[in-house]
Amino acid sequence: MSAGRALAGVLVVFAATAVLHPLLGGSARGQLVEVVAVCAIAYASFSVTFGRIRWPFLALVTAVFLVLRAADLYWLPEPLLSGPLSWVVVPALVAALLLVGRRYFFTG
Amino acid sequence: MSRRWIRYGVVLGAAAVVAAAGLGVSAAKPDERVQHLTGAFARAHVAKKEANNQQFRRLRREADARFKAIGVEPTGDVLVVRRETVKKANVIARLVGRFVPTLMAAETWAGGGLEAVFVSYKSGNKTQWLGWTYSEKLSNGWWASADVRIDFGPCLKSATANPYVMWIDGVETERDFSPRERGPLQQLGAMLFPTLHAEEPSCGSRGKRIVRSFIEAGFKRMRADNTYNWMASVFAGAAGGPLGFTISAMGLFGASYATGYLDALWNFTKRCPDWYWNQW
Repeated sequence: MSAGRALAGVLVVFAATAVLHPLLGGSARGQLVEVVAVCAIAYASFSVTFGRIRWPFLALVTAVFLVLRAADLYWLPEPLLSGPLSWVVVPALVAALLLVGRRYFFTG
Repeated sequence: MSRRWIRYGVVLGAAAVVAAAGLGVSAAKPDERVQHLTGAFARAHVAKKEANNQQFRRLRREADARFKAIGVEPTGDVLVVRRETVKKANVIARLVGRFVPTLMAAETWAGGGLEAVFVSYKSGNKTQWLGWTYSEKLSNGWWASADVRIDFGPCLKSATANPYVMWIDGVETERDFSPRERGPLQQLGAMLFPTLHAEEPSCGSRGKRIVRSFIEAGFKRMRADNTYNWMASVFAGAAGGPLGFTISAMGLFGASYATGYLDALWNFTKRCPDWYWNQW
């Protein structure tokens, strides 16, 4: 993994996700679509620039964030992913996903 | 072509299909919202607006004077009706507006917006409502700086119905309140000379408050991107290990900070043109 490839991957992800938001708007349905699209873009970009990622990991991460976003939008009184709690909840979730991924999904 | 590339192509293609479907749904109808705030929410909303702006406090005093003039006492109930119409069909303009927010002004104003505040009072056995706007531009292109009377009966029957503006400054308005778009020349003018077409400056006094709102806007934008940055970094961690995760997180969060503050700067110059240009 060269620095150039890594930065290119990051740039592609940032640009693609920045474009998604105005395209999809801020509706509830648009936000759910955005979660799926961001996961797919990051998966594809980092698979090419960093290394192989198993597709079940894509499914796991997408499902977890999709369910949480739906809970934020429809069921929870206080949003977990975008409210003040997000500063704690999201990093903890990311750490948990990486640990689970290392145990069951990662190849390297 | 290797199977790996085919797999990535399939995933990206699926994402494109999903995004296109979402885009089709959102572009099919204009994004028109009528929001009602009542009770404590409405009172907090009004208090916040009035705390930040001298003109809003003046409008409140004018409304109080009107109550007094017609000899009634307000009950303390407040109703806020907010209506926003944003033209969503022009995808390119929305996309460009993301990166060049001054263009967004024309797009946003094409639909216009309305926020009316109503305070109730008793007249005999009936509860009446007196409303005024906080000097926002109405979607038919009028400025309303004083009192506006609105028949909000349709809104109470259906959350998506539009309120009827009955009177503005004592002048009866059209019943049809559908948005009227700007002509092509007006749109061009708004793009070339955004400060001439910008909304009324609402920054109030100079100094700390302006700087604070500038910083808050940057943080707000940054926090909106945060979850997506984390999500993307999970995949970088999966593919590139701790180093990949660190590079991705630093890059994505750094870019979010930068664009957040640039966004805030653009909005700041757009919203406060007089203040901004007088400084230089």
